Amino acid sequence: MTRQALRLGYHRDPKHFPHISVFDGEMRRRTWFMITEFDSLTAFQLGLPANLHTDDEWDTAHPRSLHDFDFDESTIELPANRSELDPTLIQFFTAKANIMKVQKKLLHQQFTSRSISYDNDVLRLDAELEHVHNNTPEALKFKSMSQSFSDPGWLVMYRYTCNVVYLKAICVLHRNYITAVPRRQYSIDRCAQAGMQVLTHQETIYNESKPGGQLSRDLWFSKSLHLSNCLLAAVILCQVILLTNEEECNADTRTEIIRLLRTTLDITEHMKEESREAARFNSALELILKKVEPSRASDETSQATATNSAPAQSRPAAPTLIANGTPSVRSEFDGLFNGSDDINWVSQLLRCRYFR
Amino acid sequence: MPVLWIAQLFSIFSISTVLKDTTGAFNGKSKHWSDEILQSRGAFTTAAAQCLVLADYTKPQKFLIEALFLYCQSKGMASFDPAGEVS
Repeated sequence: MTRQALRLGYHRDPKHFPHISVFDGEMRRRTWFMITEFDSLTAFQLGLPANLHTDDEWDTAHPRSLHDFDFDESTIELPANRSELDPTLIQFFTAKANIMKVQKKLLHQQFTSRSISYDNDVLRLDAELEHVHNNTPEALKFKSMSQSFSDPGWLVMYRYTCNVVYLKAICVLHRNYITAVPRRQYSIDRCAQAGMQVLTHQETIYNESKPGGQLSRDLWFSKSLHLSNCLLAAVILCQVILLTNEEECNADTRTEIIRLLRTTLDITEHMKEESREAARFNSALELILKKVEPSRASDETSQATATNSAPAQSRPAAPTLIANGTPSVRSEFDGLFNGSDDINWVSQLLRCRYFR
Repeated sequence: MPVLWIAQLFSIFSISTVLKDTTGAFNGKSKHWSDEILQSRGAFTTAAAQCLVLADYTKPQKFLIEALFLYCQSKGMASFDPAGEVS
């Protein structure tokens, strides 16, 4: 799709071409925008380099922050951007894109073969990420559920999504330094905080999506919980607990992390009948918790077997995965707990979905 | 009417079927009717794919990118397990 878009000239701003009308030009900007986001997102998800590299190769401007009724085919000149306090859909995508720009840089850094300096490269990117996060438009800055009482469901979900993208970027940026020598306390703290926040967000969204919650009428948005984000967070937190010592990660943080992992396990228990991804994530979480809390391991295994047998009878497709899920997940996880450096472990875990 | 425009329309039908189902708009209607609607979701996606093939999606033309993008989205939303895609 990216190649086709390049052939069709979407990567050049329409203002260079007088024969493209204002309406068409804005539509082309929006389409190109979606393509760059899609490209960046899939690269991040799959752990592979992106198709579109630097920003120097294309000059299409961001689409203006306008509602759909602000312009149409007969518009001669595009109206200016709406104010920051007026949340349009485009504003959400622009805010996300700014974070993803930095995310692309850090992804590029993960793939590069040159050596990375902690102070120059990692901390500089960290500062850039903070700067972009602090400059998020007011309407999209993260607010807790109690502060978002009068806001529509989609706006709340967009705020959470923006926040989760930022937190994911922190996790990936600092992940390699949890076990680095010399120890980088800043990275360990950042990873722990970011991971815990992702799982807290998931807990909040899940609770609010139940009947009676604030998000129960916008089920589509809240159902896209993006378990892959939570899996990333859960594994990072697991590494933080297992691979750091007492002074780097104190007991309170550890207790909170374990509580969050348990809550996420409960959530995936409820979801696993509907979704293979959730079932797989569930097996993975059980393994993680077993490693993290070996004393409770025997109780959990017996409970897990009991709950697994019931859904297996009702859905013929599911047992193959659930029956085979635990051993294959276990083998993939073995390398993880030793602090291996390969970024592709997230994509490997999620790759089973392609075997349909 | 350009074929790719029709492809977009089919993808939009497919996506809106999924959305209607998720928001519970079918509750209260007869079960038979809602099953039929859900099955049509797959048929719409297939129809969109057929339009794309008919219009030869490897050649650059108007509406191509939008049609491809909407098709990807409708495939991604087809089940609760997106194949590692957009957020």
